[in-house]
Amino acid sequence: MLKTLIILALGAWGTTAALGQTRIIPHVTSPGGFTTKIIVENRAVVPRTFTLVPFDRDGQELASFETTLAGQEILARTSGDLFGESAVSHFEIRAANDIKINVAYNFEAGNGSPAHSEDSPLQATVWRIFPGDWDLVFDGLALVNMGSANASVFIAQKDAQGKVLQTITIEEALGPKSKSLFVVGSPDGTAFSRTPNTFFEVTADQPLAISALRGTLGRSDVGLLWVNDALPLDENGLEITPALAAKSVKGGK
Amino acid sequence: MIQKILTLIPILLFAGFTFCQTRMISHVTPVGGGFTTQVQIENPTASQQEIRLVPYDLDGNQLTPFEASLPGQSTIWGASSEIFGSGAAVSHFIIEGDAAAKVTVAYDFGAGNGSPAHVRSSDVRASGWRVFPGEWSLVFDGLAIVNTGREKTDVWISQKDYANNIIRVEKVAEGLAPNAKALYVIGSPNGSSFSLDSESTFEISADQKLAITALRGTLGNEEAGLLWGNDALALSLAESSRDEAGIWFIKDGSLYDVMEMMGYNVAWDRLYQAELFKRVGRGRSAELFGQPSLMQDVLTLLECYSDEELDQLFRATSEDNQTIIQAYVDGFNRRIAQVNSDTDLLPMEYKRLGVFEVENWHYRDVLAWLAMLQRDFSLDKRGLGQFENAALANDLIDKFGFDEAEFRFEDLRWVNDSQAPTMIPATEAQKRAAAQQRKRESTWDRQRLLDLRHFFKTRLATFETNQRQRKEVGSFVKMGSYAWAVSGRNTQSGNPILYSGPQLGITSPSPVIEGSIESETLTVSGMSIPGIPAIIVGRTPHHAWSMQVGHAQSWDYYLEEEANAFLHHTVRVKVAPNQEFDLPVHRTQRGPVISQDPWVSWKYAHWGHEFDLAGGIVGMARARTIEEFAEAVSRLGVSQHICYVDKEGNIAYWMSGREPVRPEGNWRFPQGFIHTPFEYDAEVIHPTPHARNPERGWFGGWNTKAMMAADDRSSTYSFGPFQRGHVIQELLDRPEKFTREEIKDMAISVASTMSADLGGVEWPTMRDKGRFMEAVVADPTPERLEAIEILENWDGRFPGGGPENWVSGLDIADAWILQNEWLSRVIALAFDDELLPVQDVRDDLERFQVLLHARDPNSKIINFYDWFLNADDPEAPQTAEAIIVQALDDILEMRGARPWGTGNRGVFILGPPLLFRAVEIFPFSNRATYAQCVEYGSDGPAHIESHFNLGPSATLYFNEEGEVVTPAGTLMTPEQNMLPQPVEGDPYFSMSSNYINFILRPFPLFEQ
Repeated sequence: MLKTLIILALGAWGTTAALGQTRIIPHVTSPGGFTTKIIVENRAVVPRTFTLVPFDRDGQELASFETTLAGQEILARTSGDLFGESAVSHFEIRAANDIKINVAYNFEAGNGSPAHSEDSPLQATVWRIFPGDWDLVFDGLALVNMGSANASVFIAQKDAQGKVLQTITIEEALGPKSKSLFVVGSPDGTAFSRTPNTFFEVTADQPLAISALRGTLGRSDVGLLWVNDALPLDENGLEITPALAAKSVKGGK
Repeated sequence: MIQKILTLIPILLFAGFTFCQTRMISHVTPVGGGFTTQVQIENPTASQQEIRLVPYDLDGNQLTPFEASLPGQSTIWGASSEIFGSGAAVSHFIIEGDAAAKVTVAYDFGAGNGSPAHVRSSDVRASGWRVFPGEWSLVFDGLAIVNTGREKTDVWISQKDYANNIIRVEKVAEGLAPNAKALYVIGSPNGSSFSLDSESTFEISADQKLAITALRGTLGNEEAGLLWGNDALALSLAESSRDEAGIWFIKDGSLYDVMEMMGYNVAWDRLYQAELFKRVGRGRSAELFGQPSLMQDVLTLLECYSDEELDQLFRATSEDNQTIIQAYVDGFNRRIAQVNSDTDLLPMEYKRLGVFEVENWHYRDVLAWLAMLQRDFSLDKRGLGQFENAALANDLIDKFGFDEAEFRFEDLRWVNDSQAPTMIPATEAQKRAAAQQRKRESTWDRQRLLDLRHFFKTRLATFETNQRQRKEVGSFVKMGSYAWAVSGRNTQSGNPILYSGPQLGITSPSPVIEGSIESETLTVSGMSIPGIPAIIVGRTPHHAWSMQVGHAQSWDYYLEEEANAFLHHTVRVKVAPNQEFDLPVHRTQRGPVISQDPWVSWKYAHWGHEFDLAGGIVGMARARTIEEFAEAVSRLGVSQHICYVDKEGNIAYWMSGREPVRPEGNWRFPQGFIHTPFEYDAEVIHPTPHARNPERGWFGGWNTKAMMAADDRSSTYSFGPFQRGHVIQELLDRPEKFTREEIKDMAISVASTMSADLGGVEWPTMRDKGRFMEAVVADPTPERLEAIEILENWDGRFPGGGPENWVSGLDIADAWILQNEWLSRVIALAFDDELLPVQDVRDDLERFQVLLHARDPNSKIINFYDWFLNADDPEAPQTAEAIIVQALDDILEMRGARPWGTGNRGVFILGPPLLFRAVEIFPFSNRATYAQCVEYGSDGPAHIESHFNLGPSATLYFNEEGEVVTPAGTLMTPEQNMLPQPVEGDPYFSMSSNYINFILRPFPLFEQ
């Protein structure tokens, strides 16, 4: 049961990232268990047309959704409303910067609170996450290959001094625009040691958009999911600043 | 337990933000608060890194920093109490040192099971943020907010629906100090001030930049404490500060951000005044003031756009233009929501009128006020000129018969006087072209003439009543203005200098407001008018400009057949207290029908061109070259004289306004009055009068004629030898180079003049062109010669006692009284016999010019009639010389012994509408409402100085005792009949001392 819930959770998380001018929502939930609410906000005062281009998990492009929002209008729809019954796994955003996308995941089967996540331009070949307490929560990852070639993706557990304790291969050849799901640890167990003061780094030979999800699916009546902070790093281990976030989005000027 | 947990919520709030390049962790849990904050400092590089963490307490006080040297690829990981010491009340900290060192914090729920929440530092800061709510039956949503600005700030939170409407606002923090932190729970299982609606967002706003963390958690669950950061989106990067006078300075952000902040600031300072302006523009004043404002509303509604037209015209403008206007409206509405949330913030005028909820603004309100203001800035006086001329023609026909009336009219309403002063220096060829001999050829069609006197008088009375009503309630903005631009060749510094003095009225509150915007998309400071999202008279790093009312003839009236009219739309009119009716608005193909008895339509060349702020006035501010500025001037939907200087050393002049190319005909009358109506395409317009860098080294004027032209087109204003701008041009026309102080002090000299043209000095023109002195010398008496001596020894300024009394002296100069009354008497003796029953509102000024045409041997305008004759009274003087001498004798006899002007200067008495008492009194001058003096070096402004009357904030409140107070608490309703004593720093009075004493106040230069 717990395993099922975690898979459902992994089918529920999302965050946003961008590759150059391409913005992406790395995850849309599959039907059953969770809904993905997509909130599109036009921060401009004039109408804006935007296109959402969905992909399945294998990176195959599906029928896109395009519409025009009036100035300062918000459109909130479930992924099913926008994309129909197709097996949408993630989608790209083709729009001006003043079109903002926020995704919210809701637990359908019981009580839950939506977890909201803004779109962001961040993408990197190295990502760092810190673990939660796996007696209570799980930590999972959604990874989308934003590069043009197959990506080898690894996850390493490191101690406080940066020494690698263990490395696991997540994907040997993740295709372009394809997505991978991976559970780092949960109440159901983990492949890593539960050493205090350790952290994890995901590395790939192609840029990744990544989302780290944490949740409490061990309790049947309440489903809580949220996006955990993940740090994009450059090849020297330096943090990549979210430059876009330093710019105002209203009016797109 | 829930309550206990909720009390812990603020302690849990966390986030990481930085000041520009200085990163920040914006929350550290206090020791003993039930939670621990773990701090991880990592050096990922191979080399040693220095790190310095600077902690602050909740109130923003700096505590002892933590400093460390981190060897390559090393990490420090410890509780905050270990890093900063167990005794330190650390609330948040900034991170200094090498940017390579990463800092992350993790929060643990110490009281039971919990999973740590990890948050990294961030450099995002903004004055506006947005978060989405969670499900408050299960989770809480909390905020940690650090003021990262340099000034204290109020922090508000607004709940908005998905249509961008504000549902409710709450004040999160009042006067949050720099570096201080506020904690706020938006909603939780224990309740909320807001209604939970999944289709809503929450926006946090302040005038300083904030670091914000939104935290969500499950503290209602006793088994485990689960916390996570909720994404917050930075919306606005604009920040606003105020100087000691309360002038606002907006920095950073997008075009939307800065204009939204401008709207917010203006609403903060002038909410009620802007409400009045809005209602004038929309024709909704009677909703507040009842029947007395109804006619004003009706006239407005008949001439203005329908809502549908406003929508279409707005949507047809550029994205930048829509952004400017909508952002300004959003800023207004942000402040209105705050005011509506707290009756203590409601300006006292609303309460006096029984209005307890301020209505939101809409972009249509800005557009309507913009159109109205631009139309008010017209010398055509809303079209009175053509009807006044028609009524004059009717009277002249009655008095002199049809055949003679036309030529009397031509004397009184001449065109093309080549002796009229001009803004652009006239060439000899232009003067010759303008000085063509007038021919005595009849052009009027006897069969067409209607008697329009009743219509004109009714319209004039309505116009004057409306003006009086608007003045009484505080919604009138006067027109006028002077300015001069002096080339660097004519200044001691070698820099060009602009002085601009827009005359919009001396009222309480001032009709103007001042501010500064510095961002990548717009950098400008200067004067604005509440409700108009633009700096109207201002300066940029590249240039500065003035605006004075121009005189492009941009409209015509047509006498119509009823059959030409059609119902265009109907508008609901509301009249306080409880009257309502539908007003049908008719149009013809030419434009709005403004009268149905007779049927009259109005054709306006600016129709549909009035709303391009981005291309026009804001475009002028965004221009980077003189050519871009010229392009923006061409887009203005109003006629203005514009003087200009820039850092390249240019001085320039334009007269904006769309003046259509009309077919040859008489355009001084409504079309259809004296000949069949002529038609024209209003989109085909004359080139904008323009000149730059004249040989003489200056431009200057006081609503002076733009340029010498063969075709004088104004229907309202006949420019003649005397025009008040002469006083400016005479001061500028000298060989000595000017200091900046001299250029500024010219304003005192100019404002100390007064004439029949509301400025200038008549005596030199009376003496030279009117040959008054020649007439007296030819027939002298000791009294007459003494009078001449008084005038010849006079400095030309109405305050008596010389320059040291121009600003604050209380006496009127005897010479000014003599000049004024002598001229009026001459005009009466010359013209009353012919024109006494004739309706002519222009009166003394233009009759003075007619007199000059007769007396000046160099005049190219030769009157058709000898106005000095007095055929009805053979005993009366029959020549100009006799009239001039007789008039002088009459005045001297009437006046008797000197002095005549002691204590008679007069004063401005300023009192806000609905306060019913004066708040400021100072000596009268013919002065500007606002003044700016800007000197440009090659790098940009070298000096900016400005002033305006009273202060930026005109918002008055009731205090707990029911007394009226300013924002700074100055009591405006003392029991005794005394003026309030201004308090230092009170933004209501902060400019008074400078303004009353004609002292310009240094204004900060641009930082960019």
